[in-house]
Amino acid sequence: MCSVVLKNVSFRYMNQKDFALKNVNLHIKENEFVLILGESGSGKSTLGYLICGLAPNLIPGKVRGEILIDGIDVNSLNKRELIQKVNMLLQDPDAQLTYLTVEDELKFPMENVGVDEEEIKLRTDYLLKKFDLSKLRDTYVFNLSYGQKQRTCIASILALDPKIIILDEPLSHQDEVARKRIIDFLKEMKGKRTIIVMEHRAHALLKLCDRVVVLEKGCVKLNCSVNEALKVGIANNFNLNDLTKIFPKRSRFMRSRKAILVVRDLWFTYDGRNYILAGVNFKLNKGDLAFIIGPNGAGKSTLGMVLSGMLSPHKGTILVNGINIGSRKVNRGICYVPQNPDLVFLHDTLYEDVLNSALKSMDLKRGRKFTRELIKAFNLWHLRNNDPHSLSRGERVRAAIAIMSALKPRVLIADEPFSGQDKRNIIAIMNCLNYLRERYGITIIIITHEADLAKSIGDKVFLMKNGKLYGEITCTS
Amino acid sequence: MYELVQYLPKVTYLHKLSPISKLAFALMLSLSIALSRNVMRILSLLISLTFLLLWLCSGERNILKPYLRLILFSSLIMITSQSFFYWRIFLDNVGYVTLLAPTTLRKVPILGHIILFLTYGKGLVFSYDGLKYGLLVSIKFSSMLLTNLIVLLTTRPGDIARSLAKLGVPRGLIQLALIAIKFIPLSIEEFLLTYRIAKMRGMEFKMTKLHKNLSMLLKASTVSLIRRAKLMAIALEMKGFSISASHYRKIALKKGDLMLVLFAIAVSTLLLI
Repeated sequence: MCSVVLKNVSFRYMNQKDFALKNVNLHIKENEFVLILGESGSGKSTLGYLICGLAPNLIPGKVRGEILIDGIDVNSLNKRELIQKVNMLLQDPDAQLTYLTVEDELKFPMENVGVDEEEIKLRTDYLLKKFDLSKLRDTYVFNLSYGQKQRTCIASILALDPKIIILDEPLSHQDEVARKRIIDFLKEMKGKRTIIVMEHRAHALLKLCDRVVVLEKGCVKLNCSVNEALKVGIANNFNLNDLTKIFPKRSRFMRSRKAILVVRDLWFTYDGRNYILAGVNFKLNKGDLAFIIGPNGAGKSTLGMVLSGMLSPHKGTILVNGINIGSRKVNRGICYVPQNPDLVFLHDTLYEDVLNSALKSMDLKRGRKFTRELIKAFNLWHLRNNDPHSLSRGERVRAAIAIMSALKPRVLIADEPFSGQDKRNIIAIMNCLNYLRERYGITIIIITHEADLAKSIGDKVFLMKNGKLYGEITCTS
Repeated sequence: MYELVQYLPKVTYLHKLSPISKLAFALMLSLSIALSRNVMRILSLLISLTFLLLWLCSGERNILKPYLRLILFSSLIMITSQSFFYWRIFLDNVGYVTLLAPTTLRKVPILGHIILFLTYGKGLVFSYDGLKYGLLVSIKFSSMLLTNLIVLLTTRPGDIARSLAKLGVPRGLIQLALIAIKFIPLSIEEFLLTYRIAKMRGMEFKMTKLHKNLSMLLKASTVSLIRRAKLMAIALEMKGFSISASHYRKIALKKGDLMLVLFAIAVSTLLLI
C-alpha cells in the first residue's frame, strides 16, 4: 500500500492566474525517504501544503485531482487523524512558533491531541536532547537565533510522531554542526517514517534518500532513484561548490591596500551581563568580499547591527575610511540588509523605494538616472512598479540590497541573503553584490551559514564564535 | 532585546509547589493589598517580599533591575501626580499649599494656562494628603507587582496555562492568550527593527514629517506581521489547536500547597483587619 498518492493533482492559489502545480502524479511508499528538488517557485512547498491538507482548507485555492494518504482522501480525514498522520515544517520558523517557550512548543501540540502525560515528558526530553535544545528549554522563543527556532519547529512537529514528516528547507538556517545533527536524526528515522524533504542543499541529503523528485514550473520533471539522479548529473545543478568558476576570488580591489573598515575591540551586550560581542577586531580593504560564518547564536547578526549603527556598542572603535564613526546614527557609511528583507521596504513601489534612498546623496535628476541604472543592474527593472512585498524571496533580497546600496555606503552588510535560496538566486544575488564592488568599490560583508560557498568565493572569511571573530582567511592563504 | 518576565529555573520550595496554589496566593494577596488601608502592614509585606525575591534571585540579581526601575518610575509618577493633582483638592476637602498662585500663572504663556486648566483654576498647589495617598498607592502597586513577580519567576508560563485549563478556562482561550503575549514582543521587535533601518536610510522623525513617516513605518511592519500572522494560524492548526483535547489531568494539591494557601489567607486577613 502506498503511503502518499497524488493522482493528476493541479493547484492554483487564489487570485493567481497560473497553476502552481500541474498534473502531478506521485506515489510515495510507506517509510520511503523522498528528496524533492527544484528551483524557487517550482511548487515544492505547494506540494507539501497539499499532502498535509493545508491547501485548499487553510491556504485558499483551486485543487484538481486526488490526494490519498493510506488510501484515504486527505480532505476527508478529521483534523486529529490528519495531524498525527502527516505534519509539515514551514519555511519561516518565526511564523511556526506559536507558544512562549521552547518546552511549550513541544508540549502543547501533544496535549492538544491527548498524548499521555508520561509520554509527553519522555518525548519532550528526548527531542530537546536530540536537537541540542535542552539548555534552552525555558527560553522564550523570540529570544532564540534563527537556527534554534527552526530546530524547535522540527522538534515540535516530531513530538506529534506523525507517520509522514514533511520538512520544507530544514537546513536553510542551520550551521554546520546543527545540519549534521538534523541529518543524523533523519538517518535514524529513515525506514521508520515516511520522510519528504524539500531542500536546495541537495548534496547533503542525496546519499541518504531513497528517491529524488525534481519539480520544474509545477510539473514533475524527474522521478527516479538516487543512482539514476546522480547519473543525469542532478547533484551538479544544486551544488554550490562550482561557483568559484563563476565568481573568481580576486577582485581588482584586492590590489588596493586601502583599509576602508577597521574595527577595534568591539563589545556589545543586550542585558549588561552576557556579552554578545566580546572584543571583535578586524580590518577590511576597499572592495573586499568578506564572509562571516559561525554557529547559530554566535553574534553574527548583532555584529552587523552594531556596525551599521542600529545598536550602540558597549565599547570599541569603528573606523570607516579612517574616520571614527563612534555612536553616529546616520551617515555612517555602513548599511545593513536584515535577514527579513521586508523590513527594508517603506514605499509602494520598488522604484520609489530605491529613488528615495538615492535622493539622500544626490539631486533628483542624478537620482533618477542612478536608480534606473541600479535596478537594471539588479535585473529588477520589469518589477520596478510592483509593491516590493509582493516579490518572490530571491527578488525581495535583491530589492533590499538595491535600496540599501542606493545610499552609496562604503560597506554593505547582507545578513543571510542566501538562506532558503536556490542556486539560480544565489548566483543572481552574488552578481548584484559583485556589481556593487566592481562599479562603486563597495566593501561587502556577507553573514551566512554557507561555509563552503564562503571559502570558495570570499576574499576574506571570518569565523565568529562566542562573540569573537577568529581566523581571517585571505584569498592568498 | 525585548524581555518578558523570564522563568528562573531553580530547585526551591516555591518552584515545587502547584501553580494553582501559587495563583491563589497571588490573587488573594493582590486583592487584600488593593483593599487594605493599613500602610504599615503593607509596608512590612513589601519588605518581606523584597527579601524573598532577593533570596530567589541570589546570583542573578541583575534580572530584578528592570522591575526595580519600573517600581521607582511608577512611584515617582504616582507620588508627584497625587501631591500636585490630588482629586480631593478640587473638592476643597483637604488643605493645600499654593506654590504658584493663579495670578502668577496667568502671566506665563501656554504652560501657565494649561496648569490652571488642569487644576480647576487653583494654580500650582501641593497637598500633604495627596503625598500620603501617592505613597500608599505606590506601596500597594509595588507589593502587588512583587507578589505576582514571585509567582512568575517560579512558575513556567506553560504550567500557569495548564493550571488555568484545570480550573475550567477553555484551552483554546488560553492558547490564544499565549499567542497574543508572544506576538507583543515580536511586533515591538519588528517595529523597532523597521524604525532603525528607516533611520539608517536617512528617514527623519521631526515633528513636520512625523505623521507621514510613522504611517510609513507602521505600514511596513504591519505588512510583515500580517503575513506572519496568517502563517501562524496555519501552524496552529498543524499543532491541533482547534481540536484541543479536554483537560485530562486531575488537580493534585500537596501538603505544601495547602500551607501556602493558608499562609495567603492569614496574611490577607492581617492586611484587611
